[in-house]
Amino acid sequence: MLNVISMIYIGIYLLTLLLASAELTSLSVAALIGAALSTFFGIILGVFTPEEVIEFIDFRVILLLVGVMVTFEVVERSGLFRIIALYAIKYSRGDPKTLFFSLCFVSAALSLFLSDVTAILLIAAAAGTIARIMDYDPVPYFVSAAIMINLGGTSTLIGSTSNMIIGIASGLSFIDFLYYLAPCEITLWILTSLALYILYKPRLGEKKPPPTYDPWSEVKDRRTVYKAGFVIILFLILFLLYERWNIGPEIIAFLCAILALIIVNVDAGTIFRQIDWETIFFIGGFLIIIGGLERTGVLSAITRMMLGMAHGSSLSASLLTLWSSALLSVFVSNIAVALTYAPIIGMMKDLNLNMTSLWSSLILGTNLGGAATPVSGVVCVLALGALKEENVNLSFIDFSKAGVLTTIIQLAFATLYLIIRFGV
Amino acid sequence: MDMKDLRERILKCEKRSIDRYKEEKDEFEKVMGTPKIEVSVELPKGYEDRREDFLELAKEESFLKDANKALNRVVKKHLKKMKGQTEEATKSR
Repeated sequence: MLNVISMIYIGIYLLTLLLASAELTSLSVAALIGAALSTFFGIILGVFTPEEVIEFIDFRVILLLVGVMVTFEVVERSGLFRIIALYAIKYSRGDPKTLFFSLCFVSAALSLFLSDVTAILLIAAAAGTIARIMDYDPVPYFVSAAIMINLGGTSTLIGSTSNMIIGIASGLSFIDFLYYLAPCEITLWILTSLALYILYKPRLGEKKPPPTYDPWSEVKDRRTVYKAGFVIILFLILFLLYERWNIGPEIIAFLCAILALIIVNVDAGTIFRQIDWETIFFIGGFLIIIGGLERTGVLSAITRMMLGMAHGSSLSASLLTLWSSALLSVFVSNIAVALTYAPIIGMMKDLNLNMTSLWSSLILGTNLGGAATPVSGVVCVLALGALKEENVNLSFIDFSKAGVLTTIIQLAFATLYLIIRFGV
Repeated sequence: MDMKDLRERILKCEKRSIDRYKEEKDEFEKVMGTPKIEVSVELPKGYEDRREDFLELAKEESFLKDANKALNRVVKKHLKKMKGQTEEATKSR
């Protein structure tokens, strides 16, 4: 009986991924269909009660996500990030090499705070404008920005939605993320931007006199920008300290969102409308599907299978987690991968394995697999869409050349890093 | 995933995000590039029955070229006038 029920839940899970990946419906609706089916079968087959369905939804993840989204939407509206991008372009002084590296690093740095969608739209707009003025080929700048934005934020708890999910599930704090993963991410920024530079060097264009402008010229109220800067500093300080107060990151994120709304004084209604509800409903729905898989024993079976393949070795289990989660993230949303793997890794906690190594592998895997092909992540899809707006049609193969190359470099280095860092 | 699917997927995403991309690009253009202003044109009186043809004009290249040329003339005329007024005001001071 349990096997039949398990098969039903595996079927619901695969159906949801199929609906989402094939874009037969939106990501959130696919997850809500899956959640409705899980709930229906769960109740009629006696797997769980309606009250337990609500318990499957981890509201700490939702609260953290909403808090971060509101805070940085407020900061983004102030124009602070635009000014940073304008300075990056200004200080390249018309040198395409400097411009390329500036945009690469600013892309990765902005995605520490901004959602991937907001970051790529901002950087693509900056790159598109300067490419038009300087008569440069926009392709190297757009593709590199997408790849760097996907990479940026790997080592912070708030750097990506998948990190927030893993952060809450693992209990790793903001400082833990930085401590275990920042050296890896910084090295990956350098390796990835160098690989992209070598690939695109012939297409970057020649040094020309740059446009002269003042990055602050269109700022109507400088105080708003300063206030936004203050919010970011406050946010970072609180995130560095929250562990001492014995409270979770979700409380700090929500507190920061309220403070940002008060300090920067923007219209809250406009900010709330900009929240990525699609992702929030996707996570809510998908957590119910995962809850069903957990209750029917599917996840513990996968855990046993992984442990069997790893022969109880922390190193093998970590590398298996890294590569399998990265490869899955190439084809399906990395949020779905994080939601699936988090309880699987969580089940390994009593098995005398190096849990920090396993969680770090999952963080790296879910982050690094998202920019291999144009369809691996929304950031790539949007970069191609923005390029089309600039009258450039980039083929699947052309994007994948850069995407696959950098993904392989990143995963190879991540493998080496895990071996050296955790010595497992 | 073939290229047709990919194109459709991009178009879907584009529809959702293209407005924000254009808004953002306008902001960068204002600072770094050539600033622009938008002018809206209403259907002229007496042509109410040509509603669809009027809306089609927004996509017609020859119309956009002519409109741009005509507007350029008007903009230059007004900027020249404003420049003259400024110079006169400076002299009178």
